Amino acid sequence: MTPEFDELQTALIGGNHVRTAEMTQSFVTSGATPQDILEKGLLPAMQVVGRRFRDGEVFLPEVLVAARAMKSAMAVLEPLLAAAKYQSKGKVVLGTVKGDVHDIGKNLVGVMLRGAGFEVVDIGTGCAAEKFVDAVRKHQPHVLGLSALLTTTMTYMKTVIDTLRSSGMDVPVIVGGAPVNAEFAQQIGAAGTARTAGDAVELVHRLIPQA
Amino acid sequence: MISIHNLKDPSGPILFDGGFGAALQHRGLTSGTPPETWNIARPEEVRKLHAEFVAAGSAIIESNTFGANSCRWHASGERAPLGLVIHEACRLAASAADAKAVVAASTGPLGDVLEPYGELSREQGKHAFREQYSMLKSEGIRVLLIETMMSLDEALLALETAKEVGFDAVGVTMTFEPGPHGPRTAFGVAPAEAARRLSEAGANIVGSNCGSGFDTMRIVAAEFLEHAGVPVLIQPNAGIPVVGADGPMYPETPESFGEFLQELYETGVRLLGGCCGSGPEHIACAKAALRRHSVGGHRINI
Repeated sequence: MTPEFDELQTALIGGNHVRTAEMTQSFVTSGATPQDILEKGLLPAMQVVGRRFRDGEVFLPEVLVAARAMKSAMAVLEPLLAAAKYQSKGKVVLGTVKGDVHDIGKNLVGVMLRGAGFEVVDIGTGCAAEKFVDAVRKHQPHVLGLSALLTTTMTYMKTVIDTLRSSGMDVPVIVGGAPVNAEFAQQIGAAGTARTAGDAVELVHRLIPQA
Repeated sequence: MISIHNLKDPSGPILFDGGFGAALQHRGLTSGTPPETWNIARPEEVRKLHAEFVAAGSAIIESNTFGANSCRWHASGERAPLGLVIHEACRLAASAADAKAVVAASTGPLGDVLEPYGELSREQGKHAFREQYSMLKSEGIRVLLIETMMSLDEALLALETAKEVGFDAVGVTMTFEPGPHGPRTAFGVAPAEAARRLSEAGANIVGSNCGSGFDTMRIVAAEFLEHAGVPVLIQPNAGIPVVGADGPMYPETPESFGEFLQELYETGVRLLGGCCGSGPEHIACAKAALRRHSVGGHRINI
């Protein structure tokens, strides 16, 4: 991590959303580019949180407050990125599958992807296969992300992929959620899975080569 | 039939049932469809599964109402009125219990995170719990189980609400995963802390359900036994599922599951059942295992 962003990163990792937004603003005022603040400051800090969560060192409350701090920083940066015509690296549609109302993981991936410069369309929780098909038709994303927390709902991801393919849609699908692993992703015809939201961003980068 | 008094002060083992949703999926419920929809769509299957648990030896069976709270139900896009879903669930369970088993209500988390970490206010959370618990009480439910909790805040709010609505017994069980510092819930709660706080807050039963296999559950159960001031209920999964394209496969056989419940009984756990992947045959094996082993020279009557 870059030393100049130490304090900002500490604020974000500690979940202090007021301080994170203030410091982001003061970096902007002192002339740092929004891209640098994001890529050298905020995103590496979120990756630290993701790794600590994966390793059982921190738990959901810490992740949720860090994500909130990230959002407060993004609220400062997004208008600047838009004004600078910071070009989107690609479009991703995200949703939690039918029968599952859990959205923490999906929201976190959304925050990280937006921070990394992707356009994200979040279609919510409890989404039936048809809703994913409609969203892909409407938004023409480069990648579709499916989320499920429960072992009883994750098999619905296969239903979604099968429905997409039978509708003639070949969009790469990535899948995520606590019980999801690489073997499962491969078995259901997904393009990949990731353990943390930071890893999900890397996966999307790999799937959209120009990004 | 066992009495509520037995439940609060058990002298021997009391068997609950196994995992309901996963068993219904095994019988054709499609992934993504809430198990509670079958209370209305396939009532004969729901009643049959309850009856099979009773025949296998479950002294307590749980209504098919785990996800029937307004937050979760409406978020999953279901339109059937909650009152009807809960009414049918209780009717089917009572019919299958046939005066041989006690019907307890199964309830779970709201699916949203409470403030300050999430968006759901305490008032909204309390309203949703109160609505579900009041409906269950008006159907004649006397034992309420609050299961698969991961946030202690939410578990304590649910418990407080359940006590206000008023049941003869309220049990709270949480779900733990292994970690570098021992088992913790997704919110970072340790078993000892859960056992103490929930007992102090007036739960009549505390313990754990679902989770990450027997090895973790063995540690969780020991911590609950040490720190709980009330009887401990342990309802493990039939192992850690390996999920393939066709659905989850649970590695523990009915026999190994039965042996594990018997082992838990020997360590002092009195209230025993199963979660995902454990069906009537697992409960039957648990009953057989508990009968086979005599503890301290006494035969167990179960």
